[in-house]
Amino acid sequence: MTRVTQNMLARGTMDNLQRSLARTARLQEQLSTGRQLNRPSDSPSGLVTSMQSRSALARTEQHLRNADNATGWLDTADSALQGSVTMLQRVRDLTVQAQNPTVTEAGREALAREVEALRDGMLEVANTRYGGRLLFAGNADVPAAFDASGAYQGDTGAVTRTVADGQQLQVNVVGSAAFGDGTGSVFEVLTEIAADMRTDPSNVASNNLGALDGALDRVLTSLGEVGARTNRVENVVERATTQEMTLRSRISEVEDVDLAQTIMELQLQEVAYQAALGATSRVIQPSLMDFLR
Amino acid sequence: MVSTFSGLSIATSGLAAARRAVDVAGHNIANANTDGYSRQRVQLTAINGGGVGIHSGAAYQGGGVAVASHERVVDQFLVNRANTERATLGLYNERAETYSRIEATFGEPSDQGLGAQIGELWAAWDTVALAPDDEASRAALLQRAEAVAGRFQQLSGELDDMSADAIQRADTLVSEVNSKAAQIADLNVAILAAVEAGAPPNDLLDQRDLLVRDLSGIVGVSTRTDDNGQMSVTLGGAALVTGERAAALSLDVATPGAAAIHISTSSVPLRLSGGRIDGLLQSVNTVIPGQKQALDAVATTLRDAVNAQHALGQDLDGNPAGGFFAGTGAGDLTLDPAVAGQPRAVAAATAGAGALDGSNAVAMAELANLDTGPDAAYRRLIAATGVDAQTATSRLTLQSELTAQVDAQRDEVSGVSLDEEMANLVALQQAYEASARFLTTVDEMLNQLINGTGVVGR
Repeated sequence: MTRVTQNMLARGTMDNLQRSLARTARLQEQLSTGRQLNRPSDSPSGLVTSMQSRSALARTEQHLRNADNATGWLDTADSALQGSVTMLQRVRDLTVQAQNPTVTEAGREALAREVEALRDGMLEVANTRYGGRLLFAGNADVPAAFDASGAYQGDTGAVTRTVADGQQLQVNVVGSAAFGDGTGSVFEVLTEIAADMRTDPSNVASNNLGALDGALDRVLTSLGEVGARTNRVENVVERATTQEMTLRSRISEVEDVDLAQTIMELQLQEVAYQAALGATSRVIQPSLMDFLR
Repeated sequence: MVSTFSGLSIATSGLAAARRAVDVAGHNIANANTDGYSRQRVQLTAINGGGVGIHSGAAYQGGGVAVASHERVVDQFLVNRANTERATLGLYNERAETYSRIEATFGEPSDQGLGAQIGELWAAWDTVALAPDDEASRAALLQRAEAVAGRFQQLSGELDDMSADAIQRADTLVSEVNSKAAQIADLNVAILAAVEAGAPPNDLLDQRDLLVRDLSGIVGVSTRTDDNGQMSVTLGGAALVTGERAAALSLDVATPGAAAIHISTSSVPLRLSGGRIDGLLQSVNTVIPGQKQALDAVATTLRDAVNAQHALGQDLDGNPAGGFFAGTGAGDLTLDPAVAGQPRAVAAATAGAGALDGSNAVAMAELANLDTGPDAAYRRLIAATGVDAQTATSRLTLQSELTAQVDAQRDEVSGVSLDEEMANLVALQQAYEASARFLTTVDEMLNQLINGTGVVGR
């Protein structure tokens, strides 16, 4: 027969009270911190998910910042190149106009002046800066992408931004590719047109329209590239934003407590604790002594 | 022929036996809550009547009752088992404690842990890539890198502190073992004296068992008791207590990673089996060095990965890059003197590229995704720690329950039941009353014989 002593009862109930309180303390820690993953041993597998998601989230946030910067570069390049297209088209109109024999010499001089002004405008556009940095000078640290004579000062280096894991996107347009360099450069063509307007007006169109169209094509090609890249950045940003939310919810899923469930568990635990307390109060049971005279 | 007065001695023996048994019940009740007390009981035996001579024939008569023995109720098997379980419990206790401290040190997962700090370092490289000529973002990068190196040093230092702490605690426990061993030897002497004097040394035995129980929690021992009640305590094959002699343990921490316990002047380290000292030494020799090694591996992975990428670049002034991190492990990881305090020396550009190139910084930030990179290594370290800590905790929980169960089993045999003692008291009181009544009866009979016989016609 099993002997049961008063001490066994007392110790047993004390143990159970301790266990019950420990469970309550754990649930309360979860509720007060709002987290179910407070240390690696709470769930080693959940921890790996959590740490991976946390670093992926940090990367994604950085990618979004990079994409922001890339959008800035591309948008500025886009408006600069759009401006050049408008200017070059105006030059084309002026060139055709200058060939008209009814235009007086004074009129041609005015046209030539306008073309020269447009050339200065083109130079200004080619030296556009974003965040203090020359857009069309590659990676070179120079005062201007094109000097006053229209010679390219930059290099052909690529400025890249990481917009997703392992995906680098070039955000700059190399100036020499968009505007040409030396012979056939857009600046040289415009200088030539202005000169021809004054000296050889009857042939200004036939002499220069081919070169001008070539320069315009180069700018348009660059513009197309910028547009395509902008598109890609937009896609990437959309994906990254979705991923950011997915990662946040995954982290929350692993780390945060399910409030409803934890509160319910805590309440169950409180009931259990009260029951254990009730049992403890009964440890001081009547013994045989109470019945002996 | 039986003595006329033998009834008196029978009554006396009954009274004495009942009184003795009542005293024992009282002793039990008094010690109901004494730690380590085993209930005692008297074993009664009938006295074979004397005078069975040639002429006694069938007139045999009993001689009353005597106390044959006064013993404590102990199941030695359960006592030994409880000691073994206590040793395992002590070991698991220390192991779980160590892992929980390691977990607290790393403090993962959080936004402030080393993992997040390394992540911020990569982000800082990306920021440099956005504006390679901006010295402020380069300086910020160096600060982030310094913070990462500092955190590595801090973690490594905290692991060292933990190890030193464990050694100190083991040292305190060794003195406790020595004091308890001396007390056991003293009790051996007292017990031998009591046995030789013929007195049951019950309470001394309980005290000695309690000492062995506490000793087992500190360091796993095995015991053997000889016919004279002398207990010898052995520890990893060496004698800690033999009779009245107690040896002394000492802690030897001369060789790092091989802290050991020696007995007396022997130079051979003892093989411990359980107990808190065993747990502490395992922490000092295996667990903490293992963690440090893993942390060192993460630090060197970070150093090598960053330095290798850095070497492919050139600094803001077009010079080829030097190192970025220096040091041999987590404990001494610092910024390389080539870049420390010199933002322009950070190689954001690929070698040979334009001055404003940031492609090396871009490539550096991509190291975050490297499968063999520092982030993955650190994640593996933390995950392994988590698994080990979880195992240690669940083992501790199981062992506590097992120990409580064995304690309850011991209590079942040796614990004092107040109801039982009360019932015994009632029975003994009645036996005492009956013996007294028997004495009265014999007295009246003798009175009749002595004073009321042969007075016919008086």
